[in-house]
Amino acid sequence: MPYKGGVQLLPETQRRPTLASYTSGNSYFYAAVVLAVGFLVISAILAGYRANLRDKIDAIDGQISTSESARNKQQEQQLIDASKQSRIMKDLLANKLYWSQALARMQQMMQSAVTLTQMEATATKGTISFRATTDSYASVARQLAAFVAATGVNDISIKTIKATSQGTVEFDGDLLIDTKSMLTKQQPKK
Amino acid sequence: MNPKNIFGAFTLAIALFFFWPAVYGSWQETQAMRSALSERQQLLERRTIILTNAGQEYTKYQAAISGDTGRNFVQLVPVKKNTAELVSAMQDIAQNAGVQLAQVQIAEAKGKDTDPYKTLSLSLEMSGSYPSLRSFLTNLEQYVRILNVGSIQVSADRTTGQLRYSIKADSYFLK
Repeated sequence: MPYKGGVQLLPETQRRPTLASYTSGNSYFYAAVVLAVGFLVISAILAGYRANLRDKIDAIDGQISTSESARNKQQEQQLIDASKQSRIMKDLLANKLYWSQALARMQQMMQSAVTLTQMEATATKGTISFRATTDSYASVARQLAAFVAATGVNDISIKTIKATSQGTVEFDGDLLIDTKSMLTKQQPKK
Repeated sequence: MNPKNIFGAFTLAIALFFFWPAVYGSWQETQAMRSALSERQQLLERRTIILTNAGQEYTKYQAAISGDTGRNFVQLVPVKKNTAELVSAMQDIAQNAGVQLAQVQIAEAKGKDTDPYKTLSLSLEMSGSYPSLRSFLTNLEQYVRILNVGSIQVSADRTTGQLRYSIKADSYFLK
């Protein structure tokens, strides 16, 4: 007999449960709906906030781009070069060599009877190689004594001393100089 | 277990499973944008300060190099090789010292990689008297561009009675 509604003590027809039968009065379901709605609201708020942030970022990007195009790179390069020059100069000026000073000192050391015929001065080795001529061995000895006594000469080595057919004496050797005192300008002590 | 509760729990799980990552991801993206904005603001501030300072320093620099001392400062270690100017200066210095300049060779020396400058090596062949050599060296040392004489060779020319000099010097310019 077909079911016609109403209570059946022993139902003969199976009733299919509706969605409403699951949702109504279901606290878990309500919590899920509240959660979902809450998430949607939060997502919408965050999306709006992000759009606002994006606008701000775009505006700042625009300002950065404007400031980049307003840069004067030529001026900046000049300042960079000036900074480099300033740093380099200190070292280079401190190590600047003054050979005129060394030659003046050497001139003071030379005896009047001695004439230099050849000279080779090298800053890196700190040597002055020379060949000279004079009238006698005594003058050679006086010249060597003058080199030894002079300030700025650390050592002297004589290679040859020989008498020539013209009656003069030729000699050659190397002076090992103190490059600091001979070649650089001494700064006055403060 | 009650099927109603199972349905409710399942719905709650679905809500959490789909929406929580979406909201959390959205929050993370927002945080990333906030930090990007903050970085850009700092960058803009720094750039503004740097560019303002650079402008002020350039004005000061221009004022400083407008005088004689300032001009000399720029020429001590020039930005470029300025080889032509160097040759011309050698000629002037030699002429003023009374030295005859026979040969000038200029080559860029291979310096150390760590040096903040490049080196131009000059090789000069000259002839003249001893006082003129002294005068030449003194003028060279007073030349506005830094020139370091590395070696001097002097020999007497018996035929002319003059001295022959060979001078090697280094000059510098910026890398």
